[in-house]
Amino acid sequence: MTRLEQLLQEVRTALGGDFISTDVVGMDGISIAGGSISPDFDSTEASARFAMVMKLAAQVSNKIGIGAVDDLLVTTDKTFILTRFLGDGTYYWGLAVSRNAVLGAVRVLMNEYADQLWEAIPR
Amino acid sequence: MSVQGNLEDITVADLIQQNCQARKTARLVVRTGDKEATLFFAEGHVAHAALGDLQGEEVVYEVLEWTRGQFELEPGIAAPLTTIQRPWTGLLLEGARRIDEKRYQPSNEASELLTHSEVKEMELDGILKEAADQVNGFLAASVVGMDGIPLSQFTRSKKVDIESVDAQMTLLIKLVSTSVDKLGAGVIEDVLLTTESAYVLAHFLENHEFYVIIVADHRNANLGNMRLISRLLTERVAKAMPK
Repeated sequence: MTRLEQLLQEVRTALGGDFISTDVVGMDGISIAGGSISPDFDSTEASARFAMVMKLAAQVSNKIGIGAVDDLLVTTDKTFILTRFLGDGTYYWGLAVSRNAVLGAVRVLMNEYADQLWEAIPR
Repeated sequence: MSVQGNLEDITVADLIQQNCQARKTARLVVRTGDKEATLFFAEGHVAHAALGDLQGEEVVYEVLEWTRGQFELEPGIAAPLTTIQRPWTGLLLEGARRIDEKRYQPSNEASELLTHSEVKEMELDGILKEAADQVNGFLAASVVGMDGIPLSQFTRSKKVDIESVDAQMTLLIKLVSTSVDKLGAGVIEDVLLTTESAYVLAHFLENHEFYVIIVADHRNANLGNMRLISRLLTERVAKAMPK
């Protein structure tokens, strides 16, 4: 298991039963690590689609002059989907959890692991 | 040590918000004309309010309408009894709703001059203005259709081009909606974009044809408060929407 996969496994363990899916994704929409535990959530498709979303979020933020994007949170009736850029913005990290998850704790967890994930990406 | 001031300088809504958020125990005496009301704060709530023989929530709603007068805040004085159970955010929103109703209740003469739609738009403007007082670090808010055209807008910062925010965020929200639909990840309730200088929170109305957007300063905003107010604001906007 690579360091990147180890870190994602730690995140999954920390989230317990609320975990649905996580991926570290290049801005080409291809995931380099991660996956989904739910048959109802296709992490490959999510990775590709949210790469487009994150690119547009960066453009939107730039056009309205509110600085670089930290993260994006989408709340649905079933899930929280959180995405944030890693390092220099060539990758993003996506995480889907159930609505039962404690959102504040999930955000703290992402803050805690974002830099470690960036460091663990093979170059 | 007590703090005294004028309601022209700070609103009753601000005094309630500040004392509740700071979880202070205090007594607030507010005077206007020959009326004097007393409110007590305890552990993040308005615990009790009295005005003459009247006690409880109704006193708060009346005092929220006072825009002139004096106040005196005395820290450390506990409420003699508890007559209010509703959270402070609920009190402020209900108070704001009642003020809206009175403010935009058109007279017969005005009814002849204003269409129903125009009255509703004025009501929306008022709701957004009041939301501005309840969101820390508020910069701007609007009610936007999924065509990116705003129905109502209110801004407090010249730095924010709200027209541009509405148009650009609609593009983003449409792409997010498509993505979430294709993934079967449920029905979207809200989308929060966090950047180095701002929070931009878009909350859908139930019909998903419109959304309410709030922009707040990242340094001063409280995300929990912003999400709560956004949800409550959306409910009020939905009721006030022109049919």
